[in-house]
Parts: sequence; structure tokens; C-alpha cells
Amino acid sequence: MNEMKLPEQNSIANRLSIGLTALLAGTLFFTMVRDADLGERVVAMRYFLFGMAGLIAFILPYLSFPDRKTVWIQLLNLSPNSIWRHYLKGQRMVWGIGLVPVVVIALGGTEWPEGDLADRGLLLVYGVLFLTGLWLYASTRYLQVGASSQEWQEGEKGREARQSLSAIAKYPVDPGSIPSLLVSGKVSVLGMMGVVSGAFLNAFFGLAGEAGIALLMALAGLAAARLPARSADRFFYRTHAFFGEFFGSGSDAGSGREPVRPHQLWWIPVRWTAHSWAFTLQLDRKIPAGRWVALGHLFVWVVAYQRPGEEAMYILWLLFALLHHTLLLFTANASLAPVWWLRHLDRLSEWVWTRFWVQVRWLLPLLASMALMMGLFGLFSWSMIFQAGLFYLGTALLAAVLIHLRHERRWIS
Amino acid sequence: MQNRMDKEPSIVVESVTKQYTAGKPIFTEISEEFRPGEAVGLTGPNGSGKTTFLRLLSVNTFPTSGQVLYGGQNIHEKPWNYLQHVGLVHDEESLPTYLTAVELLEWVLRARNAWDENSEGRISELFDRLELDESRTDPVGTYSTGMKKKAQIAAALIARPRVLVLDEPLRGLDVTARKRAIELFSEEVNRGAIFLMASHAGEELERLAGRIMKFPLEQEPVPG
Repeated sequence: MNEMKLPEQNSIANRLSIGLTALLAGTLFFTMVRDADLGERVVAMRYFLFGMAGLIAFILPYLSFPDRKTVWIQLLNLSPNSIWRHYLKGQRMVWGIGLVPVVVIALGGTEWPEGDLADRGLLLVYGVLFLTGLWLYASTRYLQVGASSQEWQEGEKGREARQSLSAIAKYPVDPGSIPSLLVSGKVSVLGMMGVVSGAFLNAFFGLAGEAGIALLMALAGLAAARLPARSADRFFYRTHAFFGEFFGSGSDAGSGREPVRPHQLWWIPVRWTAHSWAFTLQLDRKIPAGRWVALGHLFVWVVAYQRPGEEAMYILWLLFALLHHTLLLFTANASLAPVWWLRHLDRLSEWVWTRFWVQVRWLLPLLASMALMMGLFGLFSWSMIFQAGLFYLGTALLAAVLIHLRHERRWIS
Repeated sequence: MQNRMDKEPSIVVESVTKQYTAGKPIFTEISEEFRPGEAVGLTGPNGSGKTTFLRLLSVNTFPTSGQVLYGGQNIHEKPWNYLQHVGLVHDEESLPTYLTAVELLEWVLRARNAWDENSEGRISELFDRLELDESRTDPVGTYSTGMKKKAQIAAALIARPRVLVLDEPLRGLDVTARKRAIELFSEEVNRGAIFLMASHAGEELERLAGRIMKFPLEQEPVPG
């Protein structure tokens, strides 16, 4: 009974989305490193892992909680081990897609790496161990975050924090989100410091020193994962319950300012304004999307400050453009958009366009940021920026179609 | 009013059979007509096919054979044209959880191009009548079952649809709210809406409905 499998949904649409994202990411990285020497590949790997540290730190809790399969998990009364595996399965998308660039950076190229095959292999081991360790560490920490989040949200500690934070912060922070923010901070600092330490050790011990850090990271991940594997049920139910209440009540992710009104979405044609408004409003309440995007811009600028070269920077922008579309995944969430409700309100095809127009809101900041970089660093041309805009719009439409398919497959009877 | 009702289209169910598994029909060769201003109650034990029938009429399931017409159009061929005129209380209680009930109704009105300067007032009035108090400006995700049901009823009624398809709309409501909801439903019927409601609330349903369909539906006797 305990080893029964949970009902699978949307497997084809899911796999298609994940496969296409991995393919696109792999292609972009291949373009970046195809003729690169070992040193350039090592640097590219560091940047990639640096970025992944930020991504993993922020995205993981949103992938798993609240878990819509909890009803099944309880009915089947899955064992702690099964729950742990189920939980990791829900998060492995980030890890799996992340492995593709790792492999491409280490081994991808137009020629067979005869001369430095061993070093390339070591680079691959470094990337795989580092990414796996960090992902495992972050997943474990997020699984355990429910208890302290609840304490902050409902207890005296939270009340005091709410008062102090409202006095100093421009936008109020929900106390229940503080433990998650702390975990995000820990994970991103651990990841980023790991990359920096590895680079430091590389100066003394070569690539093996850097790989040593990755080994430590993997061990840290495995060590962290030992406890929840035994008590995953306790952590899982508690964290699920907390996020169910937290997101269900509408977190304060977008609070501190007036909710967006339909007329503010000026770039959206009237046909889709109402739907896009309702989606945007809900997305802003569910996740601090604006802060994520701002953080992404900051990361790209930090990388740009290292002056890695125009082609590499351009590819980084394209990857960042692609990353924006992960936000759309939330619109496939039944709690945000029950399928019967969408069906009742409008034609199925209109929801593709709704998702597309919602996503267009990040285009202007993207292009503006690129244009600013062009002015300050002399990178890119207007034509390249224009093409990046087209890339963004094209992939937004593709993402909207895939997410629409994923959403609808749940419904058809 | 009678003239206007005569001009409004009816729903015509033509020889509809529905089965989820071959050889095990939920109902067979059903033919019915539902006219504007007609209130029809669907009663019967659990699993007798009421929800399936309403899901057919809300295009949430498709007939195995036969067709359902509204204004002469097959609703399963042109769902969007039909659903523009439908107010729906679904058998699921799921609603977009991150919107407030007020925003939910605004979405419905805007989606149906019915938003105007009076809309806010109408939304308030509807929630006042259903006794959904200040929580109407809280996210739906925080609602109890009864509050969600009130929000669903309000969302079904706000655009003054020509067809109302309501599956257990009174479930989870307290006595006062049930009374208020029934009053609102009566007004919709008097306005000329086609009204179909499945419920286990026998007395209330019989008071409201001009016709009762008892499930499981009897199969038409085959001549000869």
C-alpha cells in the first residue's frame, strides 16, 4: 500500500515543456561555449552555478507547496520515504534542466576534446556534484520550513516582527515568509560562496581544488537530506499546511501597494484586458514576481560588470528572458485558475493569449535594461536588442501554449 | 414580459445518451425542452445522473450521442457562443483563490463586456442580499464552504444570464442564506431565465421549480 504510485497527470505536456526548456537552455549554452577553451568553460560554469544558486534559492518552495496531491498522499498514507521521493520528484525539474547546461558547458563543442578530456570530465563532475548538492540542501531546508514559518506567522514573534518591519520597510513583509526568506538567503549565500571559494582554491590546486568544493557541497546536501528522509511525513504535512494557509489567504507578496487595476494594463488589447488583469492580480498576490525579476536584472548586471564579452552577455540576456516564463507556470495552478471557471468565462484559445499578454509586462524592463547596458558598456546594437525582444515574445507565446495545454489536459472529460 | 420570453431561445435536448463506459449508460435517448422563464428542479439519489446532466448543459461533459441545442445551435459545437449566456454554479467549489469575491464578479462583468458605472453598486447589492459581509474583500481562498458557495451564486447571477445551471447551489448555506438565494433565483426565473437546479433540498426546490425531473431518468418505452 505504502509504495502505491500517485496518479500521474499531464505527463506528456509536462515532459514536453521540460524537454523544450532543457533543449533551449542547452542550445543557448552550446552557442556560448562551442569554441571556448577550458578556462573559458570553467568561468562559464561558475557563472551558471552562481545563477542557479539564486534560482534554486527562490523557486523551490513555489514548486512544491501547497501540494495538490496531498489528498492522495493521505488517502494512500504514503510512507515517509515515499513522501520524500514524491517531494523530490516535484522539484527535480529544476535540477534536471540545470544539468543540461552543466553537461553542455563541460563537454559541448564543435570538436572532440581530445587534449583536455580529463579536465573536461572533472569540470563535468564539478558541475554535477555542485548542482546536486545545492539542490538537495535547498530542497531539504524548504521541506522543513513549515514549523518556523507557522510560528512566525501566528505567534507573538510574528506580531512583533510585523510591527517592527512595517516601521522600516517600504512594503510590509509577512512574518510567515521570513523563515523562507532566510532559507533563500542561506541557500544563495552557500551556493555563491561555494563558487567563489572554488575559484579561490582553483588558483592553488587547479580544477581539482574547485571540484573538491563541489564534493563538499554534495556531501552537505546528502547530510542535510538524511533527517527528512526518515521524517518526511511530519515535515511535509506541516509545510504543506502552512503554505496552503499562507498562499490560500493571499500572501502579502504584492501588498503594500494598491492592487493593479485593469486600466493600468495599457499594453494589453481590450479583448484580453479583463482576463489578464485577473491573472496579474492573482500572480502578484501569490508570488513577489517583480522582486524576482529585479533580482534577475541585478544578477545579469553583476555578471556584466565582469565584462565577459558581448556574445556571452547576449546569451545570458536570452537565458534570463527565457527564465521569465517560469512565472507563467503559476497560471497552470488550479487554485489560481480552475479550469471549469476559465472554460465558463471564455474560449479556450483566449487563455493562451491571456497568458501571453500577462507575460509581455516584463518586456519593457528587459529591453530598457539591455539598452542601458548598451549605453554604459558599449555592448549590443539596437538590432540585437530588437531580436532579443522578438525572442522574448516568441518564447512567451510558446510558453503560453505549453502551459495552456498542461492546464487543459486536467479538465477534458 | 411574456413577449420577451417568447423571443428568447430555449434549450432543446435531442435524444441524448451519456455513458462513461460502453454499455453502462447514465441515461439513454433523453429528449427535453427547457423554455425561458421555466424553472426545472433535478432530484434523485446520489449517482443518479443529475450532475452529469447539468455538466452536459454546461458543456463540461459531452454526449455519447444526441445533441443539445440552444437557439438552434449545438452547444457542444459552439460552446463559447452558448456559455456567454450561462450563469453556472459548478459541482466543484473551486474558484480562483487569490481574488476577492468583489474582484471575481468584476472579472465576470468585464469578461462579458457588461462593466459600467453601476456595476460596483450591483455587486455590493448582490453580496448584501446574500449576506456576504466584509469578507467579500478578502481573497476567496480564506472562505468557508458556505461563503464560497455565496461567491459562486453571485458570480452566476451578476451578469443576468439567460440560462442558469446550478448544481447543489444551496449546499453549505445556512438557513437565512438559503432563503435569500431562493429569493434571488425566483427573481431570475421571473425575469425570464431558463433555470435548472439540482438539489437535495426537496421542499425548497419544489416551491421554486415549476417542473421536477426525477433521476434516474426513465427511458422512453420503445414502440412495438
